[in-house]
Amino acid sequence: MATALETVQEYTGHEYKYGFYTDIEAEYAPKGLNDEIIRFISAKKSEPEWLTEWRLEAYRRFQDMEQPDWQKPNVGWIDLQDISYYAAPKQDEAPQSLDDIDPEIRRTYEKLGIPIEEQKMLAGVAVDYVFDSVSVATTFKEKLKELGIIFCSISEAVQEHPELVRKYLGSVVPQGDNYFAALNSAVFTDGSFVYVPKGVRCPMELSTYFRINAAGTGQFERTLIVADEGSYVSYLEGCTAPQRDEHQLHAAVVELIALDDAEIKYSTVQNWYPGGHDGQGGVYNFVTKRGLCRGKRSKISWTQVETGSAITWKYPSCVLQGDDSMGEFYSVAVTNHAQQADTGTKMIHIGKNTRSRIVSKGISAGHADQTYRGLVRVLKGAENARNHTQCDSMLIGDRCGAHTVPYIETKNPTAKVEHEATTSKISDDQLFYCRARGISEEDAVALVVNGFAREVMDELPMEFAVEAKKLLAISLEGSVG
Amino acid sequence: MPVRRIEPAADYGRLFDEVKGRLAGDPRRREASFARFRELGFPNQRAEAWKYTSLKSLAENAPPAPAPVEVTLADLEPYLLTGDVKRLVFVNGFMAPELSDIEGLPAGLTVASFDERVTHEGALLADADAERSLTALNAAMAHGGAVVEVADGTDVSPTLQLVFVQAGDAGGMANPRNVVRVGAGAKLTMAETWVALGVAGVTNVVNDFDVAEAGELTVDKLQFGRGRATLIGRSAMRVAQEGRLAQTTVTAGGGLVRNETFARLEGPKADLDLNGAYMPVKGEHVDTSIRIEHRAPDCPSNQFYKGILAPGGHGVFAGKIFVDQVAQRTNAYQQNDNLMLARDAEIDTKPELEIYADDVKCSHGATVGELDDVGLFYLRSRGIDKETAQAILTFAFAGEVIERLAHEDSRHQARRALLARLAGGEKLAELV
Repeated sequence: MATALETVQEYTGHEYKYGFYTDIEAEYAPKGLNDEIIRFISAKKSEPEWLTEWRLEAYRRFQDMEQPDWQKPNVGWIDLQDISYYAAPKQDEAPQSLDDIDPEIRRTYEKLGIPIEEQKMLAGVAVDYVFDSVSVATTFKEKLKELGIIFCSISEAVQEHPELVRKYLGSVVPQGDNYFAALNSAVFTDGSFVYVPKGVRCPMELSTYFRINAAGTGQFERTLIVADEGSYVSYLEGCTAPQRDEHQLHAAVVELIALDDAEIKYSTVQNWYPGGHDGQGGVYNFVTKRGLCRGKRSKISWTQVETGSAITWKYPSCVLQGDDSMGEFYSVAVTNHAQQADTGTKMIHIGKNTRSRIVSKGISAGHADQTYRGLVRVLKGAENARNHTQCDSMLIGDRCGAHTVPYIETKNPTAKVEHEATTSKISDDQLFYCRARGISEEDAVALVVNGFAREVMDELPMEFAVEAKKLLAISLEGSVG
Repeated sequence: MPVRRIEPAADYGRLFDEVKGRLAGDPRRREASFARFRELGFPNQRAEAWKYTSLKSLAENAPPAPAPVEVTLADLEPYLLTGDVKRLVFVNGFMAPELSDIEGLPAGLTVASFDERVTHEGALLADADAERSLTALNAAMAHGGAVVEVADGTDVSPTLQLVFVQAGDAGGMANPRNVVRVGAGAKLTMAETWVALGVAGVTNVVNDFDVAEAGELTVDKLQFGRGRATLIGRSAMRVAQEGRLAQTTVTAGGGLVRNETFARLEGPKADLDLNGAYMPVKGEHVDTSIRIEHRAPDCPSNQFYKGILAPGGHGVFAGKIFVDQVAQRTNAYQQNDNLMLARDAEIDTKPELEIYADDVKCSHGATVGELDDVGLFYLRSRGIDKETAQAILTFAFAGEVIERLAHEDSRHQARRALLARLAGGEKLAELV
């Protein structure tokens, strides 16, 4: 009988299937980072003066910063002058309807299994498509508009709803927040913008699909979601990139703002190109994601399934400012081959009776290294704050690593904070049990891994859950070496 | 690279010049260590291991050179162990023969002062971890401390107590160093006591513990500080195959107390047990920093730490379990529970795992909370006033750790110190 390790090895066959490259005409900015480039990007997008200044201010702060080095993965110094900060599919005019979109781009999305078609209506998902640096299409805008929901690219929002963008942009992740966020603030090119008005429950899942296509570029998108009083929105994010030998940088910023009684659910299935088995190429996913529960009884929930990227380095966080607000973080991260991940969350309890829950499941195989890093901070005024953190790691093979680095800082005696973590491997008993009942070895491994991750998978919207489940299995293929 | 060091005040040069005349061993080695210390500087709070503890004041104000101060046995009486005990006392780093008792040691046990031994054995000053500036500082100025050796197969019956006294309010800096080697199949129980009789002063101690195959070392570590008295301690521990090391630390007082443990389980089935309780009150800062390395298969390790945070107290716990790729079937456990008694207390805890082997059982847990309402209600409903009820529950909370101290007197001393720090503790005096 094959051992678990052999089974995982046999499980091969599939490699990264989104590694193709679409040959379309694109417009590039010259490589390099300076005031000129920032003005160029801003001008290209016909931005108002205040935003240009905002970007330049971010760049000034960025220049005073150094690339951080406290993370576990070995990143090395990244030459940010060697990146083109703007790459856009060439179009003479903005597409008026979905039919105007370059057929090559449409085919790209079809290959990804995400047709840019209204048939998505059946699934009840409205999608914003971001190709390299710019948003190429947004579906269902009209239908959403009837409810007063704004869902468009952030460039469009800057033109059409400048008051909202100006009010909220940088209010959760300020320009000087950290090295990569400052970089993003200076050069961000596109991303999604969502505004859900008071009392509206968004009837469909909103979704963005990110794709890095061009070589020698990075992707720096900015997403801003505002849920006004009593509203609800569920947002999905997916991403892929072609297979290339050099590393590509993805340094996005996502800001969520929930006002009184509002709820935002943000789900990510991250499947950036993970690089070759020995670590050549792959995406560096260094993203700053933070939600602000500004209102009373507001709620922000992050769910992430991380299977891609050469290095994943991000901490989707919640700032629980409003009294009785709630933050959640559910994460499954799979690292295989030479992938590295340093991910987790931060829960900052400021308001009274704030609650947070963290469930993190890490699966490490091959030569991969994975770190959960989390912070739970309870400030002085956070009466009756509650946190529960559960953090489990599974190791497949004896060449990988799993690490847990939780920080707990408490300044209020009424707070209750609990953290528990375990590390284990797929048990032979579990596999034997399945085998004895006629389940094939590979199905048994998938079963155990899926069971291990189930608490998190259950949090995913239906649309994503199926995809995520498949991804989990695929990511572990060709594992142990 | 961000700056992670603080330049030591120029006065450290003055301090070194003042003490070097009385240092034993090779002076060139001392100079080299001092140069190394200057180069490394003190860590600042951007250094991950010092994230929650500031050495700024120590770095910017070099303490004066330590001087011998008269201390009587009566002064130390509350901190001494009784019964079958051998004892070595150091006051501000100076050995105090009149307070010590190492007459008639059993066969197989050797106890010598560090200064005496380092004269012939320069290697005793070797830096176990050359990257740690406080160890370099200790290596430069090490004076006082003990070298303890237990011959193979010897089961030492008396408990050996090492007492480090910080006396006087002049605030000198002592740099003792202890070396303990427990031979194969040998057994030793020790107590390492730190007492601050004065309200200032700094003790920067470095311990080197070695447990050979199937040897057993048990350490009660009791710390009684006061005022701004500072204790920075580093224990390097190595445990060989089937050896066992158990240490229980109780910290009751000190302006700044930092307990670092760096342990390596080097042979299969080596066993390590670290327990601790800390109870900082107003103006006190207690930092526990642990790194356990599993470098061989089949080793169990256990960390069990409890914190009681009184008003104005600040506690820090950072414990790391590192499991090497060869350390299959490791069984490592870590628990850190903290009880917050008041509003203006702070606890920062970081239980960490770093694992490179797959067939392991590693788990950790950390909790922070206040006293259980149900427990309080139960006691109140039986006519016990609130303060006493709180004291009872807190006493019980710390009790789980205190019970693990090896010597009965250690347990009494720890309980007494705990009650003295609790509001309403005097009513529970009979529990000591």
